[in-house]
Amino acid sequence: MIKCIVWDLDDTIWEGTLRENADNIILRPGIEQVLVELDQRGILHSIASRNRLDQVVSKLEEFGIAQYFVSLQCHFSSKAISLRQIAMELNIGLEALAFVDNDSFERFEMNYYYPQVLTFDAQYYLELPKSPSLQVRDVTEESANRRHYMLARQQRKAAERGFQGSREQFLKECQMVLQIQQADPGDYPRIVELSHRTNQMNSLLERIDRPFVESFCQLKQHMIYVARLKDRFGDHGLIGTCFVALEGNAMKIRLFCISCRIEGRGVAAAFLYTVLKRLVLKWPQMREMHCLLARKERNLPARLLLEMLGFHKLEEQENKEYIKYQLNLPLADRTFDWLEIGE
Amino acid sequence: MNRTMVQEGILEVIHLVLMLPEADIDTELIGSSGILDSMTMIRLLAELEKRFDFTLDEEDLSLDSLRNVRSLTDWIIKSKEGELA
Repeated sequence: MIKCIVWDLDDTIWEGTLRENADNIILRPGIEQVLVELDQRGILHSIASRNRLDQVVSKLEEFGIAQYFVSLQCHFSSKAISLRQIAMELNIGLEALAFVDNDSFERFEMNYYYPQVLTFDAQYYLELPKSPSLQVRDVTEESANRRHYMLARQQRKAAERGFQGSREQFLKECQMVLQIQQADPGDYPRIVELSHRTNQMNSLLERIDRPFVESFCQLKQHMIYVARLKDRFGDHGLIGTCFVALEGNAMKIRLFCISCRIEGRGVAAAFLYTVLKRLVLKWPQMREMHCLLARKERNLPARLLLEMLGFHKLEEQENKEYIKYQLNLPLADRTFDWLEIGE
Repeated sequence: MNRTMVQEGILEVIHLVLMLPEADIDTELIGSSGILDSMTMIRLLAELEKRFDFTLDEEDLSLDSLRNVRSLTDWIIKSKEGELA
């Protein structure tokens, strides 16, 4: 799934060469509509350009399109380096990036180093919104606001870099509020989207659709929980979901997906722990909890998260594709006093 | 590479990458008072792999290895020895 498009500038976003003739640059016709349309689908835009950053920013501001771009890379090194940097800053995989450039050498070089990056010839920029790889199922509130979330994340990172106190003190000053509830139908499109967008924190690396979500909720003793996050930098929307089923004296986590956008704040553990705690309070007769985990390197964080919550590895399924985790109840008491948890 | 060098290298990575200037070798990184979440752990491990030039063996990785700088030091030394063997 493409999460960010990285654009070249000269003869791609605009006609002309900024360094040579800054006054005669013109925006390519219809490019702003392309940017807006993809932005509304939740696809981010970034820039990899061999120009000076200050000059680029002032030109983009002059055209009124600067707000659409995040993590700009303007320097004279290889664009492959720029893409790696963008992936790192946005905390996404290289396979989630697409690259648009008018220069076939640049596109060839990109694919030489990173064959997983989808490249587009800039002359077909008006066709981009129709590209099958840039389609999204539903435009959720989260996708329409993704750029703002990303900017808030970058502001938080900057504040973090400038902060001198302890890590916990910093997190407290972020004034995080985690709201955990059972999902309602308005949340379903975002739940589906989360399952498609998450890898590292997707317990089964499973992609689900809306009929699955609806039918899951209709089953007896099956529940879906969702988590929303706010902090002093803004509202981060619905960032996690957890599917639970009760069977006999066991609670089974069928799937959990948590956005990696909120990594580094202890939010994932707080979310899953709170869900488990609420279930235990409601069904005190339960004796154990289970969770099946796909055995792939990409979701190692999901495995570590379970282990942090006290789950232990029970057995591997025969085909070794899944690992079964178990947690015996009662649940140990844990506090997450760097954030506020509400309903 | 001796133990002190590994410990110092780990602390440097923790200070710089995770912005934990106050961390020392006994600082609890995970658990009820630890602040490292599992996503951050992966970032830490990726940086440690680069720093100490080894490849993470997922099978061999347990949460106990990640508890503090002492346990991380043991794990990295063991992993490096394993690669050389």
